[in-house]
Amino acid sequence: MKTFEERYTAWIDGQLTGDTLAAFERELAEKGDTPDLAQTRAGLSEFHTFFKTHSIAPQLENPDFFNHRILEQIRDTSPAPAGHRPWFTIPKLFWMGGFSTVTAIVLFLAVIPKKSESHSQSAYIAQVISARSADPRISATALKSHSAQEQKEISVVWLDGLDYVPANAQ
Amino acid sequence: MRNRFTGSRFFLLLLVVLATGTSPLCAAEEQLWGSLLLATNQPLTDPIPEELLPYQTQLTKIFGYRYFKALGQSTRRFKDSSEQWLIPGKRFSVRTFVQPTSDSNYKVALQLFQNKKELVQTVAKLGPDSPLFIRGPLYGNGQLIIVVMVKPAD
Repeated sequence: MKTFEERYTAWIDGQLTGDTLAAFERELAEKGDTPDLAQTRAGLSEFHTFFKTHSIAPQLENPDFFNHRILEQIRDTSPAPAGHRPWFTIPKLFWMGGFSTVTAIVLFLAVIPKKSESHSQSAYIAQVISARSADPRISATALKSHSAQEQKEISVVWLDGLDYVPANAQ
Repeated sequence: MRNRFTGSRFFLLLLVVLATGTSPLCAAEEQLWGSLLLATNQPLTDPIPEELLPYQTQLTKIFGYRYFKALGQSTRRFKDSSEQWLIPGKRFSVRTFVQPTSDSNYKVALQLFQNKKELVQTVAKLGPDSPLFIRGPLYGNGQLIIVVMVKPAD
């Protein structure tokens, strides 16, 4: 058994015939909603026909351009996805520059030795690695004198067996 | 886009200047200084050279003389490894070969000559402003001491 709406639609479309049509029109008359059934159905049928004939989309001369403009408008209005945002933004460059500068200064202070420190007077470095004389009468000895009191030490190559030099002869 | 590259290039240039301008690889000129000292117990009017003032007490202790004066001095400027001759006195000369080491010190090979006679050959590792003393012959009432030292250029 079809519902009232189904039968009503079939009636508007002219699909009801014979006993079914007569029974449905009798039902409508009993309800009293539509006093002139034929006039009502004709009006609806005309309206239906109008939509069928005028609802066709107009033919576009340049459909690709039209689609392109529509897609551009959609892209402009929709937010950009997170994965496609540019990486080199101005704030990021600013922070990267600051971080790099601090890193460079720390490396400069920590890694590169400072000459002024290595040249300080307190660091006495004199180590005799070898000392020898070609003359067998001369002996060469490496000595180191340390003074705990003054925290100083000196390295001396001590030569023995040298000839005396008279005054004013040098 | 162009401003970004300009900023990056400037930053790289700054790093390069900072790194190379202060690096020990950027060799500075140094001085090799030599002196012929007279050590004696007779009071002297001339003071000990300023470079040796911090070591006077130690010199007195090891050599046994209280007064020191320079009979002659000699200075040579050098850069990197090089051979230098120091002639601190008429009869004494020192042939040296100085080689900077990676720890900001110097490896010094030297030959001490009295006239044309070689007295000693020695190799030593010296730090800046760290003199090496060589006990020379007795002289008059005292003792001759030859001093060799590397010091930064003025």
